[in-house]
Amino acid sequence: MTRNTTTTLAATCTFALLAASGCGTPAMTAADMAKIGPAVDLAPENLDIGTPVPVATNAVVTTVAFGSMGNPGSGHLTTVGLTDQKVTKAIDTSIGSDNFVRAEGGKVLVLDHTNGTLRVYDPKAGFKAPVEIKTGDMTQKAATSNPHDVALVPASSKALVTLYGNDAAHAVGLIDLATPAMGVVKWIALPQAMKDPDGKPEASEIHLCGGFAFVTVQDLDETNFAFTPTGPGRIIAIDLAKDAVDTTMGVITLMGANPNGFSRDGTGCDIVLTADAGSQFKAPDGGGGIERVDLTLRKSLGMVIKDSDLKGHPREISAKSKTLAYANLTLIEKGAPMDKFIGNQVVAIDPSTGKLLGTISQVGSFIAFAQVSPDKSQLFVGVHDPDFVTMMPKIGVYVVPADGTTKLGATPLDIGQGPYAIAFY
Amino acid sequence: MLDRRTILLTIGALLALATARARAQIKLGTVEVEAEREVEEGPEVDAPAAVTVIDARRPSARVSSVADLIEREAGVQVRSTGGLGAFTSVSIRGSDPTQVAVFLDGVPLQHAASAVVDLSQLPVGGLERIEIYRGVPPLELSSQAIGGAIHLVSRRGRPGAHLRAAIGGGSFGARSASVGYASGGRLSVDASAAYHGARGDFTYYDYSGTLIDHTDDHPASRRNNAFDQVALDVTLGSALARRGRVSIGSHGFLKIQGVPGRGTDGAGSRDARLSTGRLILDGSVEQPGILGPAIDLRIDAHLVYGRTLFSNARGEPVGSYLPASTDSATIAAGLRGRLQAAVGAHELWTLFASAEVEHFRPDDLLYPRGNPAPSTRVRAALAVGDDVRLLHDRLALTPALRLDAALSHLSPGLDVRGQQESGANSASAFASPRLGARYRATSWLTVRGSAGYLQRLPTAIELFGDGAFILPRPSLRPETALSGDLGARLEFAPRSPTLSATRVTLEGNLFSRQISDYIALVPSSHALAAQNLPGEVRFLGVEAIARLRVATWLTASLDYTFLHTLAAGGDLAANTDGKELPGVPRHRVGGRVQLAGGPFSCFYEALRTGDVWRDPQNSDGNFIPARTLHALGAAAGPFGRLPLTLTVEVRNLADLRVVDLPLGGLIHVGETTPYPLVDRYDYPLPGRALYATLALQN
Repeated sequence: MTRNTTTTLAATCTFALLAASGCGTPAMTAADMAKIGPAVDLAPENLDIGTPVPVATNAVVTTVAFGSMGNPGSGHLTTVGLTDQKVTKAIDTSIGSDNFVRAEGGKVLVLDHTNGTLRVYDPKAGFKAPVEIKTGDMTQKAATSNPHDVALVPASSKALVTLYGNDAAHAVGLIDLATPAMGVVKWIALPQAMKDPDGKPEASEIHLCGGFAFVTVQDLDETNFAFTPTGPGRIIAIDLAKDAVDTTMGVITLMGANPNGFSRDGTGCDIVLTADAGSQFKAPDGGGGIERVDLTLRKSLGMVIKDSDLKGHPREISAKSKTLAYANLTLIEKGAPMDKFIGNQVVAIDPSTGKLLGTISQVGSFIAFAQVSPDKSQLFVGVHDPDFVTMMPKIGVYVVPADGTTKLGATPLDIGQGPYAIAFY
Repeated sequence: MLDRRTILLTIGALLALATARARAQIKLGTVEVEAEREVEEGPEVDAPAAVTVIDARRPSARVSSVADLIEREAGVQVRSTGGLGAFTSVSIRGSDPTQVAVFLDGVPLQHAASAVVDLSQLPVGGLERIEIYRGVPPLELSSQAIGGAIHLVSRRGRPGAHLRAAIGGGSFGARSASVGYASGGRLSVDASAAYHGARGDFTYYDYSGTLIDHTDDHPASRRNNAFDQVALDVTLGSALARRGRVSIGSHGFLKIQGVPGRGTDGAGSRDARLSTGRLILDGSVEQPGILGPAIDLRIDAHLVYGRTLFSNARGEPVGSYLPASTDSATIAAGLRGRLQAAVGAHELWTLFASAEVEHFRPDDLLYPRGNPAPSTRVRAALAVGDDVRLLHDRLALTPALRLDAALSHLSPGLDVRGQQESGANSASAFASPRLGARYRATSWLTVRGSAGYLQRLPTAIELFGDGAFILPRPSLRPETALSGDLGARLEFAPRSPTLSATRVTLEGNLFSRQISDYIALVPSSHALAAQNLPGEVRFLGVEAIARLRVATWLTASLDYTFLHTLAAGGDLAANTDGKELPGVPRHRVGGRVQLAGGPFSCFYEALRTGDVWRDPQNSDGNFIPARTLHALGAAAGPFGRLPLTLTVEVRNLADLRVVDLPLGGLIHVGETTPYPLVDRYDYPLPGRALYATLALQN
């Protein structure tokens, strides 16, 4: 990798502006930075570092029974065979009730948002004897860290964890899987948005590409219950060689607010779609949508489709191809005195044209995920709660062909509890 | 543990008080010291429904509220967030805490704004007794009581002049002081003032949020768990002409407490505060023979003002984990009237009417724009009941019908998709029939049963949300319950003079309750929302109660409850149909043995709670294991003319603080992990605690 000194200085200055509202020269805009060019060479031959991921044969689904009536919640770990759809329920019923799952490097990684832990399971060992690691250290407690996503750093024992509940200085934690008792061994500070009063960048999902970890940053105002976005969302690049924010154009300012997940737009990892949820307690106003981002140029390529056209806030995006992707929407309608929450619905879109192709699911009260399988043939939709009037769609995991038209079938897979998150291994 | 300085101060203060009292006796002349009279014959024996009456007049440093007095009773399960003064809810026969109605002298304490009455905010200093109606409650206490009712009865003045005082202290900074006075005659007075407080800094087992990794487990001290509360209760009564009586009462309460949070490493708070204030003014007029020699009239009126302030300025990990400063107020006013007419010598008709208006004003001080609008609810009830005595009064039948109506209003209008688009008014009316029967088969056997169809209206928060994490659901239907029980009571009292005051009482009850439109908070992708569950939730159980009293030297009690709960006919959450409710034990048994000789006595108590599921799916291995908590105590006094009693008691005698929690799932078969002794929402409970109380009572 090569570095452009001029760009490095400019970007440092921009970071300084963001962090301390002062810099010797006028701040550079994203357009300026785009003109300068990429900080690193993200040519395809340099992408997808690390060992090739074996073809996934299973889905791992975490489930949740939320706590209520004086009882704590609970969560389960369950697997689903991708070919035979064989469900193995309740492999572990001791995971947290607010969780997240990833599968990388042959391992299954489960985050507990509530207690601030990472569990590492080895499916080859029958998931037995998982390793449990805190997402904190002695000074920055794990219990309030609210880990949102985890990514294993290729060819190393390191893992990056985004910590939604932490301040900017502790927004990302580096964990060494070889020393689990240490918890976080290094903190990676993210630049704080000027207008965000709560001090937390709300670092969310991670996408690895070309020696960098790209982190969506939501910059929400947590001083009120509306979690209002304080500005456009950001993607921040972490240099995996330095375990620090890339000082060369490390911040991508998005057009939309409140970015959630990534999905590759095509076969490479450098062009991605992000689901910008916008101001998700209000009716869609164009502040969010599906956005295309070029991680090579470190710039947004613009909105594919706005939330106002989707008539819902995208919670996640999962692409099958350049012409078909699925978005899980939060539907909010205009109302008075407050806008009305309707539910979640999965829709198909054509990212190449920005067209809404149609609905895939009924409106459910809580559709936890809609993800395309790694071989791009199947769509997995997890329904945690149905619409309370129609009682549809039913609770469970629906598996349908990922053809953009097939709607959810009559009966989902029963996975024990309401599904919450999914990954493939 | 108990602070020695606290003990010395306690004893010193009590001795000083006793000396002062002795001087007062001399000055006033001879004042006989009498043992506290037995609780007046309550409804326990004669009522067709299952009811427990508890004497609330025993001062103790470990008893700061109603919660601390009722935990061992049959059918009752209290759950707290840990330690003296902590939030405590009550469940009766497996009900949800929102379904248990609580009354103070007939004044409903469960208001539109709050679904659960926090028992820790119900002080006992001004109470004479606590009545727990486990089945169908009396006509006048039926509103909202689909899961049973708890009626707190205030002390009344009594003949003579009676002073009472107590001071105590105990582990974890527990301290208490109370004083009261009662007098009787044409004007009767009972006044009491009580203070309770504690640091609440007990040590518990902190598993640090890691169930598998034990290397980070450590003992921790509970922080920000202190409380201070004062209660002032005054009741005045005066006789009127023609055996009439008027009485007024004032009940003030103020509590300031820390909100400690879950308590796992880093998940505690330092500054979050909850302040609660409540003032209840009530009055009643009773006039026998008002419209005829056999017609009695009673009219009650009440005014309730409650205010709750919550502050979490630094966004500590409690509540929403966000900075918060809220100030909510509830004001309620009500009127109740009861007309009783005797028809012949064996029948009594009751006509009852009530109306109450409540206004709830939430105020988010940090984010006023997010405030839900104030809510107003008007409720009215009309009821008629009969009490017919047949077969020479051996058989009592009590048929009754109660009509309830309610109108809830939120302004300005609010609409939710597909449901009551036109506004935020919610109206409902409900007819509630019930029947009770009691048959005295012999002098020692009484059979009784009751059945009723009751409802609970949704609270304002359940209907309209809280502007934050609970979404509005104005179309929510009331919960309805079909309840019934059948029981027998056997009472033996040998007539031998050598066994005077000896009595054995055995009671058994079968009970059943079926709740439709069960209201539960369920999640959406956005927040929680109250929702009527499809199908029904059923409860089936048995209560067995034994009481033994042998002369004056032995008393013993045993309360056992078997409870089978079942979610039936619906499956709102996955795989819950046919499963038991989480958090409700199948088996629960409480026992107490007391030995007494002269002024000395000692007691032993045990409370065993069976396994409880942690999830509604009843997943294998996912339960809190059964546990038994022991207590031991001793008392000395009163001594002749020195009306002092010293009581010392140890709770959680075995210092149980760690349990073996099963790790559920296919990969953990047979595995357990050390886990703190926990209760409501897995908040930790204290280990062994010592309390001492010195009481003066004449």
